Amino acid sequence: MPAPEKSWAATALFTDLITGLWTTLRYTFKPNVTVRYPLERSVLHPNFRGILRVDDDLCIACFLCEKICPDNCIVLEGEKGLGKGSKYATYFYLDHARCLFCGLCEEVCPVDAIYHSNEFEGAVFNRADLVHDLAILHKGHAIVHYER
Amino acid sequence: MLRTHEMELNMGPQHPSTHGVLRLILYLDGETIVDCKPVIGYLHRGTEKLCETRNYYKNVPFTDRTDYLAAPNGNLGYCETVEKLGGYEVSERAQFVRTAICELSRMASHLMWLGTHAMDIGAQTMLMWTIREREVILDFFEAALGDRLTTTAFRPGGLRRDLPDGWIQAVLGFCATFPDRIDEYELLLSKNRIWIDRTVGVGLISAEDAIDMGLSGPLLRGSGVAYDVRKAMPYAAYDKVDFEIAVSNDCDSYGRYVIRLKEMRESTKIVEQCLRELPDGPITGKVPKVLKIEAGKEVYHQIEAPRGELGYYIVADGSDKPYKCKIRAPSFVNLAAITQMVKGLLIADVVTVIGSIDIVLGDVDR
Repeated sequence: MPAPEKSWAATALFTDLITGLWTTLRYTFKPNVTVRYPLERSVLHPNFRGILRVDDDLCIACFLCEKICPDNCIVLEGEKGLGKGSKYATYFYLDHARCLFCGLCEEVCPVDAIYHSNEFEGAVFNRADLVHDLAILHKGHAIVHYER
Repeated sequence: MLRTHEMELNMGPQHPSTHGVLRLILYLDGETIVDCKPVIGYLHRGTEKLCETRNYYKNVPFTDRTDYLAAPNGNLGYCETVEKLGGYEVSERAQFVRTAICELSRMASHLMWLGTHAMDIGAQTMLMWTIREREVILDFFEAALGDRLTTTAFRPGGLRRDLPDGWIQAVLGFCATFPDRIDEYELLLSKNRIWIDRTVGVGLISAEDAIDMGLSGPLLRGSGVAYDVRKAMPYAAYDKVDFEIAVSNDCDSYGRYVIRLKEMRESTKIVEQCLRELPDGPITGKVPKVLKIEAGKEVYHQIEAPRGELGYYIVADGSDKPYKCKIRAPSFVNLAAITQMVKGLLIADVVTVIGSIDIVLGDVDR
């Protein structure tokens, strides 16, 4: 499709520019579509992959998440507990600085112990704070909800 | 004695309109461009090498990060290559969902292109409008795939999870209103005299040159060659849907603009068809949990990404990792045409040409 021909009358009367300005002007009186973030928050879908959490009551230390992680950000160690098949994680470190948020660990976990929360405000001042141990992974790290 | 001499000017790598970290060395005669050398590699992360060190399942997140504006297309290209390599079957439902999601990502990618390209040329309003629609599409991705940009949408064998409830109705509702939005963009741009003056006749490339250079996507179709991988070598469910290829004989930036708008309309149609005729069934085919593909097999498979032909060439060596994973990135090949396209233009037109090629530097450098 070639570019439209410019007619003499249209050029003199600025119809092309006026059409554009009129289209823009109509939007001035329509409601906003933006979310004013610190004041109001959009609701995230439950499927959203946010900061990882681990439920250590469920974890059976099967090492599948450690194996599937593309960036090797999970390190864990397990121990056999009392009773049959009661293996549990003794320590579990997850480095969020390396995490890709791909969700493969959540997908392979046979007991749904590791899961993505809906939290996304994980900024910290110290890089070491991004390495979460089992205590933080269980209850979630202290999220600062930014407010004005 | 007065004389003129050629001047060398560096554009980038931190120039805002190079859409990333592209550096162009421009050789100027006054304000006219005599020659142009693109310098790339500032965003090189070694994705191809990384793919050799991870197994077939783990490589999917890396393919998001090559062309990050159309991540599902990268995922699809990789997953289909692995499926072809290992001879794994994909369920029919997965094929249709994959097609719909890839077309949504084409729409999101073209919207981002339209907004930034128009903003580079001077139409600031466009970005606000296109981002508004793109936001809706990204919300669909968030619900169906889990993430907005780096989706890791599919896995070899099918989908990672089924579509959430109400998703199909929401997408169909969006598809019903989207063509009206494109009409609005056309009201703003198509007849605007500044837009026409800045794009018509800028960045010319003939059909012969385009074929010789191996260009693909809207750049090739903008030169009048009706080649689209979706029609020529159908993959996913593209042979079951009805759509047209957008072709323009203009060979210039305006022609590519027209093509991309047309493609967005066609994508809307494809999404509607896929979701209306979505078959029931399992979301994954029969795929082993550890993919071990026998040695000696190699496959090149290509798909039509928003920027052109995206190809993956994978060689298996009997282990659970690829021996070699070469990515044929459309932006990388298309960028080579810039030298020819900017010759004889003014400096301000370089921005138009970069925009109309539609490069993503993550895709160029990988």
